[in-house]
Amino acid sequence: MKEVDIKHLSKLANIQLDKEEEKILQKDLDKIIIHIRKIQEVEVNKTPNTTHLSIEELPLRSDKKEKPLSVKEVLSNAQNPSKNHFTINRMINEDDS
Amino acid sequence: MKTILEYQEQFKKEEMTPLDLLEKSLEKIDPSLNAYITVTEELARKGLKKDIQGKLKGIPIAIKDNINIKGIPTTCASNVLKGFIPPFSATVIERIQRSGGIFTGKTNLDEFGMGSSTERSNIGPTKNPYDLTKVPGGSSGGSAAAVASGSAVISLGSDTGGSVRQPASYCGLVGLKPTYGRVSRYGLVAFGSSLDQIGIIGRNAEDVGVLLKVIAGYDPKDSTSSQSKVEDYGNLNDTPKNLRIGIPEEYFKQIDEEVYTSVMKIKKAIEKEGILFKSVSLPTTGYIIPTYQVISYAEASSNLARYDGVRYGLRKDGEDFHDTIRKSRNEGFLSEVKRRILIGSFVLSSEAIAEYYERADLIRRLITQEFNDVFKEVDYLLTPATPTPAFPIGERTDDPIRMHVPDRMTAGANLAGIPAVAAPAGMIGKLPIGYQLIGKPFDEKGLLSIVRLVEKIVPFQGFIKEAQDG
Amino acid sequence: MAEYKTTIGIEVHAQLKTVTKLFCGCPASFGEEANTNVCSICLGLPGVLPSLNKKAVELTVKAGLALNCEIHTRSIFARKNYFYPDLPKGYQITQYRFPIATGGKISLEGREIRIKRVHLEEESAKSIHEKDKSLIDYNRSGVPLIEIVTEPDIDSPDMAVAYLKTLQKILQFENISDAVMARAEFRCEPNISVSKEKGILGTRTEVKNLNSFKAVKKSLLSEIRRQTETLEKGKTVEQATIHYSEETQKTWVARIKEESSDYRYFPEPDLPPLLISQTWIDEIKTTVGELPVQKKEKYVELGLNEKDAKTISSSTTTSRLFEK
Repeated sequence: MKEVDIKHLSKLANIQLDKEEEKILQKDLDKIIIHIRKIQEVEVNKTPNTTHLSIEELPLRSDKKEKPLSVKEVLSNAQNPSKNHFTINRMINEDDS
Repeated sequence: MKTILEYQEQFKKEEMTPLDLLEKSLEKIDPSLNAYITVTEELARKGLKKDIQGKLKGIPIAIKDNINIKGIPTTCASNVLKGFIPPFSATVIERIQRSGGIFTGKTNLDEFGMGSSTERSNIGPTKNPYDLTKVPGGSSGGSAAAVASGSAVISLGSDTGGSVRQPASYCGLVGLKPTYGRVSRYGLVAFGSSLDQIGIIGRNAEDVGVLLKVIAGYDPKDSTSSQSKVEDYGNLNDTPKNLRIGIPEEYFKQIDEEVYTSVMKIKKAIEKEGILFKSVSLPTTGYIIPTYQVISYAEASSNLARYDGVRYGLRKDGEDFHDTIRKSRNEGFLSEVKRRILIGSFVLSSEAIAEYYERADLIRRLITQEFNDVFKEVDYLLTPATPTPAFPIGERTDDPIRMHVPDRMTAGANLAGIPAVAAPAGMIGKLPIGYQLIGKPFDEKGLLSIVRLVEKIVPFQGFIKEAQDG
Repeated sequence: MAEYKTTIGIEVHAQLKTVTKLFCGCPASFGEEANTNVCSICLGLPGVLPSLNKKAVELTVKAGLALNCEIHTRSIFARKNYFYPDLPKGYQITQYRFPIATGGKISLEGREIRIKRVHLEEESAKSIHEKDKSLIDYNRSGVPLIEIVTEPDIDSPDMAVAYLKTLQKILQFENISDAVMARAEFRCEPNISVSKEKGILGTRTEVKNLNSFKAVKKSLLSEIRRQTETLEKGKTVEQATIHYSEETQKTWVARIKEESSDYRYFPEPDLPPLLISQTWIDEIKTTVGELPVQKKEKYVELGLNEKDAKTISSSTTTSRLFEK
């Protein structure tokens, strides 16, 4: 059963794999999934009821301004910044506003 | 070889200056070990000039290269972070600096913390100072190698499934993974957010405790950090009385014979101190690795989605913006990280999420409950830290499944969010081997106190001679 | 032409009136120079963690109360995972299965529109497109948004506009959002289907990129026409994203939804559950006023005729007396 479709997953993960690596990774993934499937054996009906590990409550921050980074710092790691913006190939055909 | 407190005494008595200690430490950096990605000599000297008085005054500390120091490159041993220099420091770094601590450099790791050998790094493997043909453990292998070889007095690592404890075991050191939430994660590059903790690798329990006291405590920038009181972790002379320590049978299966003997030696030594040992059982142990894999890979696939070259890091130009991002990520990540991201995406995907991620989450709660239950009968658990001593470089690089084998001992504590410490049990030939103690939430002091007790009764003889002087 | 029934549900995103962003202390203000209100957190740099804005929670609770919702004392944040250059972390922190408020309603001209949910999430960055490249400004990244979703209780474009106008007024009146559509502080995404068969809903399409109430009305009318014509021809309506052109005043299929994006939602591990005490909810409730138009609706329900209801509700004094 080929549950793990590497072409679909590489799209979800947004990684463009070379054909060679794709073949190797497909094999690796199939092997790993067999091991992970072990979790299907466990009886999970009587599990305790918590979604989060941390027992702490979510702390709330007061709505006070803090100093942002300077534009220079913000762009300090950017490739080809322009007019104080980050740049990327033309983004087309999406629903941005 | 001195403890942090002993160095502080020496500084006070002017028998040695912090600059002496720094220079001696930097001299011990051996490039052939490949423990450091970036040596931060200039930063360290500047730090000394500030002459900050504090508990860590003048102590040279190595920092795993997935913890941000402002103005110093953070690489996470990955090409995807090429050229990235963070404009902020991790909270733990700020706390160390305020206590006078200084940094020798950023140490090597498995890319983004994913691995158990420090081989999967874009700068190549770090070698075990005890035997250059063996791994130092991972993913905090650089930190462990730095301390074991004497170029740092103590170090910070990170532990998601055992990445501080396992290298400590392979390098004859004390490695502590605190309770989840004990130490702020702000500034630690995330791998498995619900599992990660910054941990400490040092030469003895007291040093680890002194550093823990400085870095531990609530941080408003980390919403998962705990308000629980910070104790005097460096004061370890009182061993808790009437201790009961459990020996979980599942942790003693499929381990080297000599590992078993070493751990039992520790048991016998402290039994004489009136500590009660009891056999216990943790039946979910066999499910720890797959549960850990599902949860950590899922979180990793999400945490690593930000590495797209748009705001920082490697960028490979493509035909359109989708293409540019996909190519950049393909070129930037090594294969282990790719594997984990792909599987992580799989277990969260709509077809698989119920059977995998959600199920693993339920099993995690069972595992946690099981620890809670066992801690009603005993106060601590004693286990091996690793099933074998350090393995040869290259032995497991092509085997993603075998790579996880040591995690069997350590990942349970991450899943349950409880503290655990690895410490030297002895030597197996030329190589050190560690034992592990697991404790209740926020009982780091108890864990370190027992390690301190063991140090007094059966002091570790295996420290590397050259690392010791100075 | 046979009688087609229209079914509309609307999703609104409104920017909250807070001083700072949702997860960091950067100013949430509008119209500043690019990348001047950005920090390590809203830039999603390696190692950062979110820190939740209390005021944003308060305003979300207030919105829920103003819309007669049940406020949940325990709610969870979740990660919605997808890739886009304006999304710095590669995921948006939002709410999924356990939002802050659910089960509300608005009365509109004697009809009831049920509010399915109100939840809190973060905004993405802004991009400008030039000929050969796109420029991204992260000032907007991390600004707090509430998302308000109705049940499919709206049955005409006019009613859709009336709902939106009322909702906008409520948000402005309660000081929850300035809700200025032109500044993208109030974004409407109606989804619409038509059906001839009683009790059975048609395939719905989602209309995006609407910048005015006029555009909402015209686009929905156009979409009803388009879907009806498609069905009359014997073809099927495909699930799609619809855009509306102000120039041609027509809707067109921008993207077929063959494969809905797999957002791989899971609970946000960096944020423990949000606990909102009943005491706090009660405190916030005292700050919730009622729009005159809402009072009027209430009086009509109680039996008053439209004219009297309108007169009494238009002044705070008379309405207070009446409510005694």
